[in-house]
Amino acid sequence: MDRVQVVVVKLGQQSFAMLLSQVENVIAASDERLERQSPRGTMPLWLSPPRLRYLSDRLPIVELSRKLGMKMAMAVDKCELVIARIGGGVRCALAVDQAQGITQTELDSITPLPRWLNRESTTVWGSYINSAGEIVLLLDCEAMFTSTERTWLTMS
Amino acid sequence: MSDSNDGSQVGSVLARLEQVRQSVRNDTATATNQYLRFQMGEAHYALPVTEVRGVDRLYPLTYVPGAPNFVLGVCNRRGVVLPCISLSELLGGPPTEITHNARLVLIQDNEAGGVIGLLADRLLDVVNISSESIEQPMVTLEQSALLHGQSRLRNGQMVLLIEADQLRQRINRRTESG
Repeated sequence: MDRVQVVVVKLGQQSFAMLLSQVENVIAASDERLERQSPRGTMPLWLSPPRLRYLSDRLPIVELSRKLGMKMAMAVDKCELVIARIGGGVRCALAVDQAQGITQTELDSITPLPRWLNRESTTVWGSYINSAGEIVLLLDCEAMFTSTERTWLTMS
Repeated sequence: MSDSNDGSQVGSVLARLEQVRQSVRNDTATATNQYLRFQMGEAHYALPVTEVRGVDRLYPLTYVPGAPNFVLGVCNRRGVVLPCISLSELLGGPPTEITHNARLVLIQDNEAGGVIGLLADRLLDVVNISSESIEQPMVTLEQSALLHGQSRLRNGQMVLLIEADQLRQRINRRTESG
Protein backbone atom coordinates (compact mmCIF):
# COMPACT_ATOMS: atom_id res chain seq x y z
CA MET A 1 0.00 0.00 0.00
CA ASP A 2 1.39 3.45 -0.96
CA ARG A 3 2.21 5.68 1.94
CA VAL A 4 3.30 9.25 2.30
CA GLN A 5 5.53 10.60 5.05
CA VAL A 6 4.44 13.82 6.71
CA VAL A 7 5.60 16.11 9.50
CA VAL A 8 2.72 16.82 11.87
CA VAL A 9 2.54 20.16 13.67
CA LYS A 10 0.08 21.79 16.04
CA LEU A 11 -1.29 25.31 15.84
CA GLY A 12 -3.43 25.81 18.89
CA GLN A 13 -5.62 22.73 19.12
CA GLN A 14 -5.51 22.03 15.41
CA SER A 15 -3.20 19.63 13.58
CA PHE A 16 -1.58 20.25 10.22
CA ALA A 17 0.85 18.13 8.24
CA MET A 18 3.46 18.89 5.61
CA LEU A 19 5.13 16.52 3.23
CA LEU A 20 8.43 15.35 4.63
CA SER A 21 9.99 16.08 1.26
CA GLN A 22 9.20 19.78 1.78
CA VAL A 23 10.76 19.86 5.25
CA GLU A 24 14.48 20.13 5.81
CA ASN A 25 14.64 20.24 9.58
CA VAL A 26 12.73 21.00 12.76
CA ILE A 27 14.41 22.97 15.51
CA ALA A 28 13.41 24.71 18.70
CA ALA A 29 13.60 28.47 18.69
CA SER A 30 16.04 29.89 21.20
CA ASP A 31 17.49 33.33 21.80
CA GLU A 32 20.93 32.40 20.53
CA ARG A 33 19.44 31.21 17.24
CA LEU A 34 17.36 34.33 16.69
CA GLU A 35 18.80 37.45 15.19
CA ARG A 36 16.77 40.46 16.30
CA GLN A 37 16.19 43.26 13.86
CA SER A 38 13.98 46.30 13.84
CA PRO A 39 10.54 45.63 12.40
CA ARG A 40 9.87 47.36 9.12
CA GLY A 41 6.64 49.15 8.39
CA THR A 42 6.09 47.24 5.18
CA MET A 43 6.37 43.78 6.70
CA PRO A 44 3.31 41.56 6.42
CA LEU A 45 1.84 40.50 9.76
CA TRP A 46 2.80 36.88 9.25
CA LEU A 47 6.49 37.68 8.90
CA SER A 48 8.19 37.73 12.26
CA PRO A 49 10.83 40.42 12.89
CA PRO A 50 13.62 38.09 14.06
CA ARG A 51 15.49 35.92 11.58
CA LEU A 52 16.79 32.48 12.27
CA ARG A 53 20.49 31.74 12.24
CA TYR A 54 20.54 28.39 10.52
CA LEU A 55 23.80 26.86 9.33
CA SER A 56 25.40 29.64 7.33
CA ASP A 57 22.10 31.34 6.45
CA ARG A 58 19.69 33.75 8.06
CA LEU A 59 16.20 32.51 7.30
CA PRO A 60 13.01 34.55 7.50
CA ILE A 61 10.55 33.31 10.13
CA VAL A 62 6.91 33.00 9.12
CA GLU A 63 4.19 32.75 11.76
CA LEU A 64 2.24 29.88 10.25
CA SER A 65 -0.97 30.59 12.17
CA ARG A 66 -1.12 34.13 10.82
CA LYS A 67 -0.15 33.03 7.33
CA LEU A 68 -3.12 30.65 7.41
CA GLY A 69 -5.43 33.40 8.61
CA MET A 70 -5.91 31.95 12.08
CA LYS A 71 -5.08 35.30 13.70
CA MET A 72 -3.21 33.74 16.61
CA ALA A 73 -0.24 35.75 17.76
CA MET A 74 2.77 33.55 18.54
CA ALA A 75 5.77 34.11 20.76
CA VAL A 76 8.36 33.14 18.21
CA ASP A 77 11.08 32.50 20.76
CA LYS A 78 8.90 29.84 22.40
CA CYS A 79 7.90 28.13 19.16
CA GLU A 80 9.28 25.26 17.22
CA LEU A 81 10.54 26.09 13.77
CA VAL A 82 10.01 23.95 10.72
CA ILE A 83 12.61 24.67 8.06
CA ALA A 84 10.52 24.37 4.92
CA ARG A 85 11.40 24.34 1.26
CA ILE A 86 8.91 26.72 -0.30
CA GLY A 87 9.94 26.42 -3.92
CA GLY A 88 12.38 28.20 -6.19
CA GLY A 89 15.25 27.13 -3.96
CA VAL A 90 13.88 29.32 -1.14
CA ARG A 91 13.67 28.16 2.47
CA CYS A 92 11.99 29.73 5.45
CA ALA A 93 11.28 28.83 9.07
CA LEU A 94 7.62 28.20 9.81
CA ALA A 95 6.85 28.96 13.46
CA VAL A 96 4.46 26.41 14.98
CA ASP A 97 3.24 25.77 18.52
CA GLN A 98 4.48 22.21 18.50
CA ALA A 99 6.09 19.83 16.05
CA GLN A 100 4.65 16.44 16.87
CA GLY A 101 6.87 14.34 14.67
CA ILE A 102 6.99 12.37 11.48
CA THR A 103 4.25 9.95 10.63
CA GLN A 104 3.18 7.88 7.67
CA THR A 105 -0.28 7.91 6.26
CA GLU A 106 -1.73 5.74 3.55
CA LEU A 107 -2.60 7.51 0.32
CA ASP A 108 -6.00 5.83 0.40
CA SER A 109 -6.82 7.53 3.68
CA ILE A 110 -6.21 11.02 2.30
CA THR A 111 -9.30 12.92 1.23
CA PRO A 112 -8.67 15.72 -1.26
CA LEU A 113 -10.38 18.85 -0.07
CA PRO A 114 -13.36 19.73 -2.28
CA ARG A 115 -12.29 22.39 -4.76
CA TRP A 116 -15.11 24.72 -3.69
CA LEU A 117 -13.74 24.81 -0.15
CA ASN A 118 -10.40 26.30 -1.04
CA ARG A 119 -10.82 27.82 -4.45
CA GLU A 120 -8.79 30.84 -3.42
CA SER A 121 -5.71 28.87 -2.54
CA THR A 122 -4.29 25.39 -2.82
CA THR A 123 -2.34 25.69 0.43
CA VAL A 124 -4.54 22.98 1.93
CA TRP A 125 -4.62 20.15 -0.56
CA GLY A 126 -6.16 17.38 1.46
CA SER A 127 -6.93 15.92 4.83
CA TYR A 128 -6.88 12.69 6.75
CA ILE A 129 -8.29 11.52 10.04
CA ASN A 130 -5.69 10.45 12.58
CA SER A 131 -5.96 7.67 15.14
CA ALA A 132 -7.42 10.12 17.67
CA GLY A 133 -10.23 10.96 15.25
CA GLU A 134 -8.92 14.46 14.56
CA ILE A 135 -8.87 15.90 11.07
CA VAL A 136 -5.33 16.71 9.98
CA LEU A 137 -5.10 19.23 7.12
CA LEU A 138 -2.30 18.68 4.64
CA LEU A 139 -0.37 21.81 3.68
CA ASP A 140 1.58 22.38 0.50
CA CYS A 141 4.52 24.55 1.55
CA GLU A 142 5.18 25.59 -2.04
CA ALA A 143 1.60 26.71 -2.68
CA MET A 144 1.55 28.65 0.58
CA PHE A 145 3.48 31.56 -0.91
CA THR A 146 2.95 33.49 -4.10
CA SER A 147 5.99 34.15 -6.25
CA THR A 148 5.88 37.77 -5.05
CA GLU A 149 5.89 36.70 -1.42
CA ARG A 150 8.73 34.30 -2.10
CA THR A 151 10.78 37.09 -3.65
CA TRP A 152 9.87 39.30 -0.73
CA LEU A 153 11.09 36.66 1.74
CA THR A 154 14.45 36.36 0.03
CA MET A 155 14.92 40.13 0.04
CA SER A 156 13.62 40.97 3.53
CA MET B 1 -34.29 22.61 28.00
CA SER B 2 -32.29 19.65 29.19
CA ASP B 3 -30.04 17.57 26.96
CA SER B 4 -32.17 14.48 27.43
CA ASN B 5 -35.30 16.33 26.38
CA ASP B 6 -33.47 17.75 23.43
CA GLY B 7 -32.20 14.29 22.52
CA SER B 8 -35.69 12.80 22.56
CA GLN B 9 -36.99 15.74 20.52
CA VAL B 10 -34.32 15.14 17.92
CA GLY B 11 -35.16 11.45 18.00
CA SER B 12 -38.80 12.15 17.33
CA VAL B 13 -37.93 14.55 14.51
CA LEU B 14 -35.68 11.92 12.98
CA ALA B 15 -38.39 9.26 13.28
CA ARG B 16 -40.91 11.60 11.71
CA LEU B 17 -38.43 12.49 8.96
CA GLU B 18 -37.89 8.83 8.12
CA GLN B 19 -41.69 8.27 8.16
CA VAL B 20 -42.19 11.15 5.76
CA ARG B 21 -39.39 10.04 3.47
CA GLN B 22 -40.98 6.59 3.38
CA SER B 23 -44.33 8.09 2.45
CA VAL B 24 -42.62 10.21 -0.19
CA ARG B 25 -41.16 7.10 -1.72
CA ASN B 26 -44.66 5.60 -1.77
CA ASP B 27 -46.40 8.65 -3.08
CA THR B 28 -44.30 11.23 -4.84
CA ALA B 29 -47.35 13.47 -5.24
CA THR B 30 -47.02 14.54 -1.61
CA ALA B 31 -43.28 15.24 -1.83
CA THR B 32 -43.44 18.97 -2.24
CA ASN B 33 -45.60 19.38 0.85
CA GLN B 34 -43.22 17.92 3.42
CA TYR B 35 -40.61 20.17 4.99
CA LEU B 36 -38.04 19.86 7.75
CA ARG B 37 -38.36 23.02 9.84
CA PHE B 38 -35.49 24.50 11.79
CA GLN B 39 -34.57 27.73 13.47
CA MET B 40 -31.80 30.13 12.51
CA GLY B 41 -31.61 33.16 14.74
CA GLU B 42 -35.16 34.45 15.15
CA ALA B 43 -36.44 33.05 11.86
CA HIS B 44 -37.80 29.64 11.01
CA TYR B 45 -36.65 28.01 7.79
CA ALA B 46 -37.67 24.80 6.09
CA LEU B 47 -36.18 22.48 3.50
CA PRO B 48 -38.11 19.88 1.51
CA VAL B 49 -37.57 16.53 3.22
CA THR B 50 -36.66 15.02 -0.13
CA GLU B 51 -33.52 17.18 -0.05
CA VAL B 52 -32.51 16.20 3.47
CA ARG B 53 -30.10 13.28 3.77
CA GLY B 54 -30.27 13.32 7.56
CA VAL B 55 -29.61 15.39 10.62
CA ASP B 56 -26.80 15.06 13.09
CA ARG B 57 -25.18 16.75 16.02
CA LEU B 58 -22.27 19.07 15.44
CA TYR B 59 -18.87 17.43 15.79
CA PRO B 60 -15.69 19.35 16.67
CA LEU B 61 -14.89 21.66 13.80
CA THR B 62 -11.55 22.01 12.04
CA TYR B 63 -10.85 25.44 10.58
CA VAL B 64 -9.99 25.43 6.88
CA PRO B 65 -7.56 28.18 5.84
CA GLY B 66 -8.67 30.08 2.75
CA ALA B 67 -12.27 28.85 2.90
CA PRO B 68 -15.12 31.30 2.24
CA ASN B 69 -16.50 33.03 5.34
CA PHE B 70 -19.71 30.99 5.35
CA VAL B 71 -17.72 27.77 5.77
CA LEU B 72 -17.52 26.93 9.46
CA GLY B 73 -14.97 24.22 8.85
CA VAL B 74 -14.87 20.50 8.37
CA CYS B 75 -15.70 17.81 10.89
CA ASN B 76 -15.13 14.11 11.29
CA ARG B 77 -18.56 12.55 10.91
CA ARG B 78 -18.27 8.80 11.27
CA GLY B 79 -14.88 8.73 9.58
CA VAL B 80 -15.88 11.01 6.74
CA VAL B 81 -14.69 14.61 6.38
CA LEU B 82 -17.87 16.69 6.27
CA PRO B 83 -17.83 20.39 5.25
CA CYS B 84 -20.09 22.47 7.50
CA ILE B 85 -21.74 25.67 6.36
CA SER B 86 -23.26 28.57 8.24
CA LEU B 87 -26.60 29.09 6.58
CA SER B 88 -26.91 32.39 8.41
CA GLU B 89 -23.74 33.77 6.80
CA LEU B 90 -24.65 32.32 3.43
CA LEU B 91 -27.86 34.35 3.67
CA GLY B 92 -25.87 37.46 4.51
CA GLY B 93 -26.72 37.29 8.21
CA PRO B 94 -24.53 37.45 11.32
CA PRO B 95 -21.94 34.80 12.20
CA THR B 96 -23.46 31.67 13.67
CA GLU B 97 -23.39 31.30 17.41
CA ILE B 98 -22.97 27.63 18.18
CA THR B 99 -25.05 26.36 21.09
CA HIS B 100 -25.70 22.87 22.44
CA ASN B 101 -29.00 22.83 20.51
CA ALA B 102 -27.23 23.36 17.19
CA ARG B 103 -27.66 20.55 14.67
CA LEU B 104 -26.43 19.80 11.18
CA VAL B 105 -28.96 19.40 8.40
CA LEU B 106 -27.29 17.22 5.78
CA ILE B 107 -27.95 17.79 2.11
CA GLN B 108 -26.50 16.20 -0.99
CA ASP B 109 -24.37 18.39 -3.22
CA ASN B 110 -22.57 16.41 -5.88
CA GLU B 111 -20.91 19.48 -7.33
CA ALA B 112 -19.52 20.31 -3.91
CA GLY B 113 -18.16 16.80 -3.50
CA GLY B 114 -20.90 14.92 -1.67
CA VAL B 115 -22.85 15.62 1.48
CA ILE B 116 -22.55 18.97 3.24
CA GLY B 117 -23.87 20.03 6.62
CA LEU B 118 -25.92 23.18 7.16
CA LEU B 119 -25.76 24.43 10.70
CA ALA B 120 -29.16 25.13 12.24
CA ASP B 121 -29.57 26.70 15.68
CA ARG B 122 -32.33 24.25 16.52
CA LEU B 123 -34.34 21.58 14.78
CA LEU B 124 -38.08 22.02 15.11
CA ASP B 125 -40.26 19.51 13.31
CA VAL B 126 -41.52 18.19 10.01
CA VAL B 127 -44.49 20.17 8.71
CA ASN B 128 -46.98 19.81 5.89
CA ILE B 129 -47.21 22.91 3.72
CA SER B 130 -49.68 23.10 0.89
CA SER B 131 -48.53 24.83 -2.25
CA GLU B 132 -51.54 27.21 -2.08
CA SER B 133 -50.30 28.62 1.23
CA ILE B 134 -46.93 29.66 -0.19
CA GLU B 135 -46.51 33.40 -0.70
CA GLN B 136 -43.72 35.60 -1.95
CA PRO B 137 -41.14 35.95 0.84
CA MET B 138 -40.72 39.33 2.56
CA VAL B 139 -36.96 39.22 2.89
CA THR B 140 -33.83 40.91 1.62
CA LEU B 141 -32.79 40.56 -2.00
CA GLU B 142 -29.83 38.37 -0.99
CA GLN B 143 -32.13 36.01 0.88
CA SER B 144 -34.90 36.03 -1.69
CA ALA B 145 -32.75 34.26 -4.28
CA LEU B 146 -32.46 31.29 -1.94
CA LEU B 147 -36.11 31.11 -0.99
CA HIS B 148 -39.04 29.98 -3.00
CA GLY B 149 -41.56 31.45 -0.65
CA GLN B 150 -42.93 31.78 2.83
CA SER B 151 -45.86 30.16 4.50
CA ARG B 152 -47.82 30.80 7.66
CA LEU B 153 -48.43 27.71 9.75
CA ARG B 154 -51.65 26.96 11.63
CA ASN B 155 -50.10 28.27 14.84
CA GLY B 156 -49.45 31.59 13.11
CA GLN B 157 -45.70 31.15 12.79
CA MET B 158 -44.06 32.16 9.54
CA VAL B 159 -41.65 29.78 7.90
CA LEU B 160 -39.27 30.63 5.06
CA LEU B 161 -38.95 27.88 2.46
CA ILE B 162 -35.46 27.27 1.13
CA GLU B 163 -34.89 26.38 -2.50
CA ALA B 164 -32.25 23.66 -2.25
CA ASP B 165 -30.98 24.00 -5.83
CA GLN B 166 -30.48 27.73 -5.37
CA LEU B 167 -28.67 27.03 -2.10
CA ARG B 168 -26.28 24.67 -3.84
CA GLN B 169 -25.71 27.17 -6.63
CA ARG B 170 -25.03 29.91 -4.10
CA ILE B 171 -22.41 27.76 -2.36
CA ASN B 172 -20.62 27.02 -5.60
CA ARG B 173 -21.01 30.51 -7.04
CA ARG B 174 -19.78 32.18 -3.86
CA THR B 175 -16.71 30.03 -3.83
CA GLU B 176 -16.04 30.63 -7.51
CA SER B 177 -16.14 34.37 -6.99
CA GLY B 178 -14.14 34.03 -3.78
